[in-house]
Amino acid sequence: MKQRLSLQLAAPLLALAFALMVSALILLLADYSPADVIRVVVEEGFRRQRMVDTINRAGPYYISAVAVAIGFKMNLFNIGVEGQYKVAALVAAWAGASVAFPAPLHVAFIFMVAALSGAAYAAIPGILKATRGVNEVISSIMLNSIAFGLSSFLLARFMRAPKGKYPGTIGTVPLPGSGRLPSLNGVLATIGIHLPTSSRVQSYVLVAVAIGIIYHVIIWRTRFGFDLRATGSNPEAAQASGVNPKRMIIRAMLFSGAIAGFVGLNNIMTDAGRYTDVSVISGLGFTGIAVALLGRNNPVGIAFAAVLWAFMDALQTPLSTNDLPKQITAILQGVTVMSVVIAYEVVRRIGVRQQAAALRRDDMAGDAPPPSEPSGGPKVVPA
Amino acid sequence: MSDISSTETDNGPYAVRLQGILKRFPGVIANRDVNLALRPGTIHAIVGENGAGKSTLMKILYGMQKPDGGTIEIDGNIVNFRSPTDAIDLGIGMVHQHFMLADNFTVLENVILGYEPRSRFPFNFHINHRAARARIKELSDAYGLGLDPEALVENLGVGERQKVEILKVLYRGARILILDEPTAVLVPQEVTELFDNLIGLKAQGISILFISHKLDEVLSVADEITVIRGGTTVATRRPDQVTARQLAELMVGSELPSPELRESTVSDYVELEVVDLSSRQPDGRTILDDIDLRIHRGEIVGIAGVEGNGQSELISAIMGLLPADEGTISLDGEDITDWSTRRRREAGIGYIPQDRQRHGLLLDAPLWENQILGHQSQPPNAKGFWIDRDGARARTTEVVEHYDVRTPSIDVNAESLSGGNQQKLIIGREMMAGPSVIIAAHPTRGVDVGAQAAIWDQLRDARGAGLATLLISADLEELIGLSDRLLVIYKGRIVAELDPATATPEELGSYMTGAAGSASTSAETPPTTDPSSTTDVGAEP
Repeated sequence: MKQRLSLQLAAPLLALAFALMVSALILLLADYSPADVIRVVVEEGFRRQRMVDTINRAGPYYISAVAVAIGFKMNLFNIGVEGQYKVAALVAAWAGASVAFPAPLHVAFIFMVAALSGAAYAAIPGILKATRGVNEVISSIMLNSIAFGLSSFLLARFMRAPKGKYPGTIGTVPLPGSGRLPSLNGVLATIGIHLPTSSRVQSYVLVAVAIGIIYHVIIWRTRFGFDLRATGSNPEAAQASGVNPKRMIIRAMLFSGAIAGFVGLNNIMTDAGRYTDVSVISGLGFTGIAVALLGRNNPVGIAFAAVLWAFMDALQTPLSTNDLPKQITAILQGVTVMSVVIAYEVVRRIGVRQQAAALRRDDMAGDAPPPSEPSGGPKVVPA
Repeated sequence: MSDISSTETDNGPYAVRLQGILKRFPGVIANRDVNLALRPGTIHAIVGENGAGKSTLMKILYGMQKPDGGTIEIDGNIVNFRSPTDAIDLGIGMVHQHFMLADNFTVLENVILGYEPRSRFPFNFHINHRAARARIKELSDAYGLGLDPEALVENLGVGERQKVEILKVLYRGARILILDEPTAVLVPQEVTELFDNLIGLKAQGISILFISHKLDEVLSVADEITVIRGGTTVATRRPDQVTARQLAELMVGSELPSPELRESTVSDYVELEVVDLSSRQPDGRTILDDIDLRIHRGEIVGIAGVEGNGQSELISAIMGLLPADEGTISLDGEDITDWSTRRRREAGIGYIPQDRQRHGLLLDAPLWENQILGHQSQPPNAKGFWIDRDGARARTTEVVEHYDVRTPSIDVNAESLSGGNQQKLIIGREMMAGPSVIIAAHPTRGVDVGAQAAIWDQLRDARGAGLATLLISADLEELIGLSDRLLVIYKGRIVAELDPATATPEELGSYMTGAAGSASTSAETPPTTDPSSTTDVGAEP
C-alpha cells in the first residue's frame, strides 16, 4: 500500500518535470532563453502581489474543478460548468440586487440563488441523458453556447440596470454593501501581514475551502455520495445494490451544477459588484476540467492543482513586462495536464500488473487444483 | 469412438490436433487435458455447456490465449501462436458469434478491410478494387455463397452477414474454419442454408470446427462430435454412433451425486412467489415465458438449465432489475412487482450475483465499503442520510471473521482478494443483513474446493434458519446436493420439476437440452442404453 502511495505522488511530480522540460525545449526553439524565464519566475513570481493574484484566482478554479469532479466521480463528463456558472452568476447578481436583506442573510440569499440556477441549468443535460440517453458531453457543450446567448438576452431584456441611472456598460444593478464579501486584508493584518489597499485578498477563497469540505463530506460520508461513487466505480453492481441509475444521473448533475453556480460569483460579490459581460470571466469551466484532472478529483489534490494553475496564470504579468512570451505558461499548463493524465494511467497499469502478479503467486501457492490428473478422456498416444 | 492416436489420417496429417491442452486463470482451470483431432476436409463439432471451456479452447486455437501446457499441431507441425496473426498465417480463420462488420461498408470493403490489395501505380496507395472484386467473386462462386460484392452490409440479413464473415476469413486464405455458435443468431431456414454452405466448403477441402450446444444440429452436420465438460474433452463420437440423448448425458456428466440425507426444514409458508411471469426483449423475443415458482421458508429451490435459457433474466426480474411484462412477484404475501430494487433489498431479498466482479463488488473500493454495497440504506451501515463508518467497519470485521474471509485488513481493495474470498465476503454481507430470501446464482463458481464446502454449509445453515433460497447453478452436484426441489428451465420456461433424490442424469440432460418433452420433436429417442456403457470415456476414474 505504501509503495502505491509513493507511486501516486511520483506521477504528478514526474509529469510536471516532464512538462517543464517540454516548455524549456519550446522556449529554446523559439529563440528564448529558458534561464531568463526561470530568473523572472524566481525573482518576481513570488512577490506579494503575485501571491495575492494566485490566491484570488485559485478560488474559482477550485470551485469549478469540484463541480467537474462530482461528475467525474460517477463517470459523467459535465463539460457544461462553463454555461452553468455564467447563467447562475447573472441570475444571482440580478436577484441579489433586487432584494434588501441584512448582510449575512443577503450573502446567503445570493449563494442560494446561484446554486439553484446552476443546478437548474445542469438539470437539462441530466434529464436528457436519463430519459433519452443523450450524451451529456454533447448536450452540455451545446448548452454552453446557449448559455452565452441566453445570458446576453436575459441581461439586455430583463435584468439590466435602468439606462439613465447606470450609464456605461450593460450590466445588472450593483449589489448593495450587504451583498458583498469583505476582503481578508484586515484579518491578515492582525497576523502581521500588511497588504496595500491595491492588493486585496478576496474572502472568496474561504468559500472555496467551504465547498471543498462540503464536497468531501457529501461524497465520502453520505449515502448519496456512496451511491454516486458506487455508480462511477461499477454501474452494474451499483444498480444491483439498489441504485436507480437514471435518478442518480439527474441528482449528480444537480449537485455538480449547484457547485458550478458558485464559480462566477467572485468578482460580482467583490470588486465589480455587478454582472456585466466582462465582470465574469469566461473559460473557468474549461479550466476546471483541467484542474480536476490534475487533482485526481481529490479535494486536497484539486486544491494543489488550482493553486499551481493560478500561479502559472499569475506569472504572465511579470513575463510580459520582461519581454518574455507569456504564452509559455499556457503551454506549460497544457503539457502538464496531458502528461499527468498519461502518468496516472501508467501508474494505474503498473498497479494492476503488480496486483495480478500477487494474485497469481497466491493462486499457485494456494487454492489451484492440481493441474492435470489422469482422467478418462480420449487418450492420445504419440506414434 | 475415433482413434486419434496416430499422427496421420488416410488423407495426410490432421488439420488440427490438440493434445493435453491446459489453461489456467487465477483461481480457475479453464481447460485441462483437452485432446482433439480435426481430420482434413471434415466438419468436427465441439459441444458442451456454456462455461464448459469451449470459448477458451477456441481462443487458444486462434492464438488469442496462450495455453499453459499441451501441444497444438496444424497440418502435422507443432506450432506456438503468439497472436491471432500467427494463426491466420497458418490458415486458421475464426467466425465469431457476434459479427464484426462495418455496416456502412459494402461486402467487398468489409472483406478486404485490413488486407487491401494495392495497385502498383502510382505509389501503392490505391486499393485495387478490380482484383479484389474478381477474387471475391471467385471465392463466392466456388463455395456457393452467392454474395454480391457491392451490396451494403446494412442491407443484408443475419444469414448473409454470416456469409460475409465466412468469406472474409476465406479471403485471408483460411483452410481451417472455426465457427463459434454460428446458429445462435439464425432462424431455422438460415441454419439449413448455412449447413449447405458448410458441406460445400468441406467438399472443397476446408476443415471446419463447429462449436454449439444444439445437439440435433451437430448430429445433422458434423462428421465427428467431441464433447467437452468441466474444461476437459470427455468423448468423441461419430453422429451415427450416438443419439441426442446420449450426447446430452455426456455433456451433463454421468454420475450424479446422491443428495445428502438430511432433515427437511421446508415449511408450509410461501416466502417468495412468482406467478405467470413473462418478460420480452425490446425486439419482442420472449426471454421469460410464464414462469411459476414458489419458495417456502426453509426451502432451497434449485434451477437447472444450460446457460442462456432465462436463468439470469429470472434473477434480474426477482431483483427488480428487469421489468416484468406480465405476472406478479410477491414476497411474504405482498405484491412487490412494482417495487424498486432498493425497496426489495430493504424488504429482505439477499442477492449473490452470478458474476461477483461485475454485479457484486466495487473492485477499486476497500472491503468495508464493499460490505456496505447493497445495504447502504440500512443499519449498521447507515444512519439516516449518513454512512455510518464505524458501524459499517464493525460489521465488516464481523463478516470477515464469521465467514472466514482471508484478508490482511478490511481496508484492502476488493480486487486484491482471491475469487473465493471475494465470494465469501459477498455471502457474508448478504447473510449478515438478515434476509428472508436469498437469490444465489452460481454461488461457488470459480472458487476453490475449501471455499466451496464452506459456502455450501452456509447455504444449508441459512436454510435451517428458515431462509427461502433460490439456487441457480451450472454445477449439478451443487444443485442436487443442496436443493429440496429441482426445476429445469429451457428457453425461458420451466419444463420440469424433479425430486433431486430420484432425478437421473438422462432425465436432467434431456430436459436441459430440450431433447425431451414437447420442446423438441426432432431428437430421436431410441431405447436408452445403460448409462455406464455409453459414457465409459467420460467417467471419472
